[in-house]
Amino acid sequence: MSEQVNDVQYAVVVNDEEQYSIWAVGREVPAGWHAVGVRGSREECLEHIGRVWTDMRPKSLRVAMGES
Amino acid sequence: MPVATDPERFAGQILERFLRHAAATPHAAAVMDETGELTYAALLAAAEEQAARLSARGARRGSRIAVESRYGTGYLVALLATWLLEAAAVPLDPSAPAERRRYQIRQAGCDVAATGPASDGVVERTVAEVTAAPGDGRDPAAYILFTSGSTGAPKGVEIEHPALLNVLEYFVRALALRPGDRMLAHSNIVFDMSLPEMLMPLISGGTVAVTPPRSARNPEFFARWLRAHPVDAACATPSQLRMLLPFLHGERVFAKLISGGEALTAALADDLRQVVGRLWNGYGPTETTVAAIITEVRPPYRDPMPIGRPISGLGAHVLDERRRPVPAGTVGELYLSGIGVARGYVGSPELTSRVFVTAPGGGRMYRTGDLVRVGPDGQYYFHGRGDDQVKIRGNRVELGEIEAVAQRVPAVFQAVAVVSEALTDRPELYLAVSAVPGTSEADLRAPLRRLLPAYMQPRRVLFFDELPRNTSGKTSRLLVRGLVEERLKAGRPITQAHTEGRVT
Repeated sequence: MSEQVNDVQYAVVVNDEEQYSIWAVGREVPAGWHAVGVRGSREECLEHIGRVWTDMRPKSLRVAMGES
Repeated sequence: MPVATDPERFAGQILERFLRHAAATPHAAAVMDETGELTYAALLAAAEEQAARLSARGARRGSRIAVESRYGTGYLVALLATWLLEAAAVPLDPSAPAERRRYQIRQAGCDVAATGPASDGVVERTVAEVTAAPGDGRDPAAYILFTSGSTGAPKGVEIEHPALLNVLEYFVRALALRPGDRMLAHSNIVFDMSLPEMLMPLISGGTVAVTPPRSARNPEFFARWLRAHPVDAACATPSQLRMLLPFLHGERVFAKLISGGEALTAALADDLRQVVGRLWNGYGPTETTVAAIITEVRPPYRDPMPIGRPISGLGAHVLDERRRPVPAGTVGELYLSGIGVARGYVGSPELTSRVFVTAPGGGRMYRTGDLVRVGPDGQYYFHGRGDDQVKIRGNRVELGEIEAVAQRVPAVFQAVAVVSEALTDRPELYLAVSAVPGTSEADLRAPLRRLLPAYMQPRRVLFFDELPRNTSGKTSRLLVRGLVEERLKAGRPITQAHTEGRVT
């Protein structure tokens, strides 16, 4: 029953503050987070996050500063 | 540009509290060092003057201002000035290699630098030299502090104001600091323990007592100074305390002391009984702002010492490798959530999303890599690391960062950093290397010195024909440590690759 670490598929997930993380496919995504539709190996998901998460300020802060 | 000093403008920040004390007790002593004393009014004036100077050089709201200093009054002024401008401070150690500082400045996106003499005295003498370049800084985080990174480059942890105020107010309440209390400031500014030292007094009407610069290199002098100037409160690492103890002659120099940065042992706590009134043990990675878990400890002391319970505003979760809670009382990995969690590693979204993970409810948790257990008393107990991060005299070191630097030397095949106490009574770093025959220690020392700070320099570089691997083919740090210790105990000279016999 042991998990084959190399075969685990991950999904890129994001929260309301537009902060990104990854989550193993097949398990329920925690409340407050949702999948953005990108799946792959851990490294593929991290690479995607590296491309799309260009402004690491939380969304609420960007909005407060009028730069959203 | 006039600098606004209305406390309301800085609601939820250290500055708000400091400005209120400056208005209420302008003539109280805010900071004292060996060259004099600044009142709250004078410290604020110095910070406003510094802010105006930074502003004239191009600093603006959201700038990231590199502050090069070791510690002391000049640094405190630069820090307050940065926050008056609603900019983020990037503390840098002037004694760190230039290439490392350049990397940090680039990575943090600094647009302005405030640099002063390596050891700062009173403000008037040391108002920072300011250089400015147009930049794209924009976000008012409180500070960006770099820690050792396993992939060969330091990581800039970006911390927001509410996180900092939360932990420091908790500490002030826990220690019951009062106006007029003197708190010791001695830590290097690239260590986040420097923040409670300098800012707890300023948010509680107390006085920052800055040690003379010599103290850092001379424990006997430091102890003598402490005996002449006992303090109401202090923070220190167990390593620092062990060095000071023989020279304190049992005198009570710390009314209240927070031990942090490394594991506190029962033996050290016992040794401290004469010199400390009340003792706290704290734990917390830079990524969750200064300290996340803390407790007051009282005799009789027994190992393992508790690290305490999470501070208000923070949550602690002990989870297994699939991120499920472990059964009560068993060891698991510690994850931290709540107000103290950093924005992330500046400029490194991949690294950030790797260790700042999803928490139920949309928040994030920081995966510490530390193993802990919750005891029947509800206290957390530290059970070591799950990876290759170590503490060398209180400094957090990723062994992988040292190895990555060594492996950039073209002649090097394999490099493994290990920690050993074989020759010394405290943990020391050693670097085991296999390399092209004829490669010498000097070939490695040059890049190590160029890229890594003094505390990350291996005590010795040892050459081996080949480094042992485990069954999965990865170099085994445990096996390498065994070889290194064997070699150290044999006391054989190690100067060049291939001058040693095959070791397996």
